[in-house]
Amino acid sequence: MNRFAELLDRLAYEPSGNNKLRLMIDYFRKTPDPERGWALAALTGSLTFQHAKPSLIRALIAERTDPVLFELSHDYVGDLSETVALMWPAKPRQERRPQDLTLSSVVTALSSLGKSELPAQLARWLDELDESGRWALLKLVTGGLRIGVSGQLPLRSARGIRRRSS
Amino acid sequence: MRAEDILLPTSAGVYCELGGFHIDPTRPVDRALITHAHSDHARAGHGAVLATQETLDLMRLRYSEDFARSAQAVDYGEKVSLDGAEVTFHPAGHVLGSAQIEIAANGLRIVASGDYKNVSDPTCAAFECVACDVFITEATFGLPVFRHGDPQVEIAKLLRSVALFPDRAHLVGAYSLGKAQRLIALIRSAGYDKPIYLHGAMEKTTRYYESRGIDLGRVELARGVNKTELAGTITLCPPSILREPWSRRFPEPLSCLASGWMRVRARARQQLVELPLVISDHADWEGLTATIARTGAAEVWVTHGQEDAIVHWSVTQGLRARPLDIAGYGDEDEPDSASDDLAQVT
Repeated sequence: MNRFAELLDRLAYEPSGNNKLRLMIDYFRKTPDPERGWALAALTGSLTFQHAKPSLIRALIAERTDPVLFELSHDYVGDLSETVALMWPAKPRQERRPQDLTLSSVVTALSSLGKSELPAQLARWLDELDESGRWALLKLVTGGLRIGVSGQLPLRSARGIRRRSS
Repeated sequence: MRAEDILLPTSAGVYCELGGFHIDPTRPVDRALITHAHSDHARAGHGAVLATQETLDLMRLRYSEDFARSAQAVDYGEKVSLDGAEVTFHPAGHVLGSAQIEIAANGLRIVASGDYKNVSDPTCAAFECVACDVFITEATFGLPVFRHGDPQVEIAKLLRSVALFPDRAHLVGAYSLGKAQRLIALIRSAGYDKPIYLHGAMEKTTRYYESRGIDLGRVELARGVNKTELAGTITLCPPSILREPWSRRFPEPLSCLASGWMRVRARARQQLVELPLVISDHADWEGLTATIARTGAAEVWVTHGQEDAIVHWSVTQGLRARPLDIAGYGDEDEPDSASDDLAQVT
């Protein structure tokens, strides 16, 4: 999940299509199946699951932070998912196991999870991830992965790794 | 006796009437105590200046020999009596020579911490927590969204990018005094041993750091180096230069910016940064709140930054807290505050 989050971060800031292509090819090369398959689906917008609403995210953070500090932070950052990702009270680094949490396991769980189970599961995931990982997760579950990549580009990069490795 | 009778907040900085001095005054005064050499805290034109040797040297480098009528160097931990007040400088961990200033008078102890960070930095003395009655803190990153994390993780990101784009030049915007030298030291400790290139504005301070025994490996000026030779290299420059024509001398420049602000995406996008690196020379939210608690101070004064959140937090902890509203302390992490960098170019 953290490597996927880093890819999303780089893609969001990189203006050039060619360089985006290179970042995706690098990711697809270094990432095993089924993880890279899910990443491709996420990048092309073809994942379907029940999305979380902003009110759910708000409720989760309200249980964990001072309301005044949350409002000051939200005003400053602007974006709700990003504010929550940044100020989520994280466990100390040594207690986290971010390597264990894969995009595959998140997507699989999301498609089978009942609506009432979502908040607790989301909180457990947020506890395991770092800032970037939490941001990517929240963007994914709220359906807001806007990273300036058209549907064709990820497919081209996936073809790119086949060509180069053959 | 109230703290305000010893140290009076004025619009030009805090003033100690008993000792007849200002701390980091924003306009020329007779006697100034300077916490560190960043230009918003260390201005030219004061009468007498008391600061650490490094701060005085850096002020000389940045202004000129006659930056003040007289200058006196003070060691960390050395007690100096100034009329009715006793002052002691303690390491602030912000940049080379940076200090917190402790003022003791009439049984009350106040610490003006200037800018500080409580994490390790191979290029300056480590922050030292001083017990006090009143703690004066900055609040540059005084919101709980600011957690700077491990700088080596960010350096690893930079080095992965350099490996992935061997035909591009990585330009890393970093403040000329402190941030640039710390970055070089961090890159070296990650095992990168190729030359690191510099914009001319950073040369004097970087050479000064080296002269104080800080090993930065091979550091060269980018000026005069062939464009093709700069592919796959790392160059440090002042943040304001990233968008200037200067960057055109590099092959396909990839603009990076090392700053605590890079934690917030909108800030990185505003600067057109392609690779944000969250590395700061200021304490983050956890650093600020943990430090306030550790000083044992019952009262907190907040000089600049996100005062509201730090004041609110202090009050929830049962402390007295107030913002000082001193105009003129900028933020050296802000890419638009280029005054220092320009002062060095000319």
